[in-house]
Amino acid sequence: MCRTLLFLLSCCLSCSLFAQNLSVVTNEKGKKGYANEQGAVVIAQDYTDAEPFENGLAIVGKKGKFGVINTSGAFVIPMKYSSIKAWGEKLFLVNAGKKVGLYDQTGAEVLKPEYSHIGPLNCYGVAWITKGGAVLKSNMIYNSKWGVVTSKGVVKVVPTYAGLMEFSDTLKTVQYHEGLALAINKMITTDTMKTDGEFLGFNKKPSTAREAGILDANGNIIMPTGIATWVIRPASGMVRCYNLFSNSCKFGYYNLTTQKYIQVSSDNKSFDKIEYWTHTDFAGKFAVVNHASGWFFVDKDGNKIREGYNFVGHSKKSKVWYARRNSDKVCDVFDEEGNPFFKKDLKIQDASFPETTMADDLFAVQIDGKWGMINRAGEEKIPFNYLKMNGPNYDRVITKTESGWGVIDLEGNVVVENNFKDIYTNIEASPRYYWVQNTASGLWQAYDTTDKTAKGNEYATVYNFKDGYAFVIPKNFTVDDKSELVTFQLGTTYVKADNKVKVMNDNKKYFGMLIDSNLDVQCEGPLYLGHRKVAVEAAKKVGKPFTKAQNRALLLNLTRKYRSYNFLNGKSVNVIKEENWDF
Amino acid sequence: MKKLTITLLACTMMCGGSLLPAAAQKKAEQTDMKYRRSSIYSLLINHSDQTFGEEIRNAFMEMPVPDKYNDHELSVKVVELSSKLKGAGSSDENEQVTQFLEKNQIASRLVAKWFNRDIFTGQCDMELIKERGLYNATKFDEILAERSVRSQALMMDAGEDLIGNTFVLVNDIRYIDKEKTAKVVGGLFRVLGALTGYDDLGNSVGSMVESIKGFRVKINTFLYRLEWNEETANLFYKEQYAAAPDVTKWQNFNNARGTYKLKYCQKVESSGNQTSFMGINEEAKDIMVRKACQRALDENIVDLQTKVPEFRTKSPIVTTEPITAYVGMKEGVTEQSVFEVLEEIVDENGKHTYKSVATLKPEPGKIWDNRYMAVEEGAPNANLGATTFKKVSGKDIFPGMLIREK
Repeated sequence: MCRTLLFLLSCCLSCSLFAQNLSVVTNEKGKKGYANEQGAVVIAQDYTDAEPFENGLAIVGKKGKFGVINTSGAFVIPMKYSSIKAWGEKLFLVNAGKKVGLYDQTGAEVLKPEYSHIGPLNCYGVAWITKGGAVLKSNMIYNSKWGVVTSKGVVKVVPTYAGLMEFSDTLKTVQYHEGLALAINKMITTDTMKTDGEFLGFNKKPSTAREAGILDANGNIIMPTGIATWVIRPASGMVRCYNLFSNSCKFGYYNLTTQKYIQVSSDNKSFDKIEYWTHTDFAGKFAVVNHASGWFFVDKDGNKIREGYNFVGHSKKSKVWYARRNSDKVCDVFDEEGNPFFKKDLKIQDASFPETTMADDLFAVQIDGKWGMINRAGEEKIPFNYLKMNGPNYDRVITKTESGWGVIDLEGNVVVENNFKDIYTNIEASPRYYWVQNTASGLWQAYDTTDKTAKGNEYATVYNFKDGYAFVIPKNFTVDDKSELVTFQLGTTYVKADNKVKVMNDNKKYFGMLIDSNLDVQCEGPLYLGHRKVAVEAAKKVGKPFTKAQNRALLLNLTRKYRSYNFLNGKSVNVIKEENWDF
Repeated sequence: MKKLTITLLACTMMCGGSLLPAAAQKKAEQTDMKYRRSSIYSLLINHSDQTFGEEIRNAFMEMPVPDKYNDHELSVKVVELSSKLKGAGSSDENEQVTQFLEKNQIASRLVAKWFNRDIFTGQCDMELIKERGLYNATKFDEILAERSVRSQALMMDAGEDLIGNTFVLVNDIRYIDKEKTAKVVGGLFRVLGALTGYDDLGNSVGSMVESIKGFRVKINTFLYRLEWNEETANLFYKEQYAAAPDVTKWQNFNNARGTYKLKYCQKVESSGNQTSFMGINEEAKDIMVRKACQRALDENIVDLQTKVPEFRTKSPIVTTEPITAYVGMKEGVTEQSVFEVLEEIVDENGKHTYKSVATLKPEPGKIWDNRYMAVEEGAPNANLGATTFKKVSGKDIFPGMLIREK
């Protein structure tokens, strides 16, 4: 009874003190405590370290030991740890010498301090946790077992793995095999996880993803090690696998449900010589395999379900497969479960299923040599009057008639008249301008959809407007390939002399200008396409077309890294030519 | 993490507002703080004859302007010299360096940059002055348009505190090749042995051991200051400043370029101390070079600040309980450092002055190691986030006040 009363009293006291906003105060000896709003010291100045209160708790320290107190000054976490910091969801990460653990705000132990490392949380609320081994002075984590902990302090993957990796490598340098592969863990204390940890790779050694196995989010082994040299992140319950040898490759899948590996194809070439798509991830019930005989579909048991295609497409957005038959050039269009996508049986020769579509139920298809748009019920929504269609790209559809290319909206209204030799696809919804190619000149011009006229200068090469600016190259645009302001934009300083000419010749065609949304020349260049972003940032700061001086200053800035000048000219100091200065 | 708002007259601490300790603050907020800084232009004399010449050049180009200074860079950053700089070893002004700056009219170019002068038309504006002077842009324009005593005071303020605090650093960097592997490697093993008890250090640690081969740089840094006085200013505003393209004023400035001067302040030399490459893979030579160069250059800047009081930087106080600021070992803070607290006073004409109101010393053991790559090196105190101070004397301190080393 007494204890209960005392506890209740201390809670009330805490609440009332909490409401007073305590602040740190230091005395003449440098010792810290806390005072209330009236300035009265309510928690004695006894500490060498005192952090401000947050949620009624504060970290304090004395003689190299730290603890956590509440607003009545009582210890919630005893002052015996070498460091304490807030971590995760209202938890504290405590360091008991070489071991770390977690406490909650009531002072209850969430994870006993028996781990060598608990890392910072990522945006998904997960972090690495290790046991055993050591944290070296270089912040490397050496010889530990790895696991995963959540922001609530729950160990989702028990730290028993020498190598634990994430599917975070986007394979940007590897063509024809795009997907998410395993990336080696850097094993540094400051590293966060890169993913939500839904799937993880594991291995006996920390420094290789070769022949890794896969864990699910709870640390259960769903694929053992040794199945494949290289794996891609699971999709639809299947894992795309590659078995690579010095002069051949085998391609297949591991079924996570049946726990069986299925080989679907192979090639007598080393992996680096493969220059085509071999097999895709599963989307729903199917994946597609590419072989000398053409494309074919397999199910999750590796059975060939459909074959004989010379073209295959898939839309993640619409969850649809479409594949053109070799035999009669008609497309099979079906959903990810294998059911016909359209309710009517239509002889579709071609289809367009862009990922950027904003239309819920409108699809461009070709039937009897003409294009139009239908819904899933197979009903005609936009008449089959077109020679070609591409879209919907956001809320617009590119169309072609006998008179040329144009654009319609999702109701079929004309946005750009069909008068042009060619047209650029829009990269955003309802763009003001489309680049159209004039039949007479063969040059590109901006078509203003607000007044339906092509206007402004014509250009030989154009790139779509982005962030209010477009990169363009006028006809006969000259580039002085001896000028440092040109060559250094390519960064050819470190290219061998005999390659410099080749690099210049290969890239000369990518020098041009920047225009703004009024179609005025913002930057007359010569600007290398690769520096477009820097030029746009500079343009936004200036807010109007560059003067000659500003244009030159931009080019000097872009090439500054590579430019250098002689300090001496003979025995005298060198005077650098005016053209090299911005002011 | 809570965002911290700094105001010149902040008194939130007295109200017990809960401010997180500096260690919890992100470094990114450091550069958001608004206070007047000196401006610098930094040049490299690179020695193309030496090993690692390209790497040193690249490292120098990667180095940002120290965040306690404004970036007043010009388009020329690197000059090449295929031999040693004549007279580099002397502690006196270097004739060749001074001549180079004079003949290339650097002083006039720094002035032109202050006024955003169009090199082709002569048109100028005051935008940079307003931005770096932290003036209220609208009020600034109004006062200037008056052409009154107030306008003059404003321009004097801009001149003294901004344009007159423009500096040039000419850095002559040479690579020194000395190997000291045996001693250092032995030391490393002893440290690791004590920590882990492991005999087999594995490949990753092996590569760290291998990387500690001698790589050092020696940097001679020459400091110059832009001369800007009433006479120079009057001439400029009267005959050379053009609000719109003006051929006459354009010509006047070009003809007068030689009259703008840089005053030699000091020369310092880095110690050439060994830089630790712990945590850096041996393959990453560029990181090793960058670290060695950055540390040596930072050392020179600290040395120059000690010898040239006008070159010392101010930093704002971040919190007052405890007293913290974003300065540390990179700025040369030691337990013996003494800082004065400055209260910035702005009069009705917009003129800024600074009044010393208190004295601080760093708390022992709480000096932030903010040197380049201190965290990767595993240096103690690298994760502090700020240095903690104790007040030695003076009046109350508020966030937003500035500190400067005495």
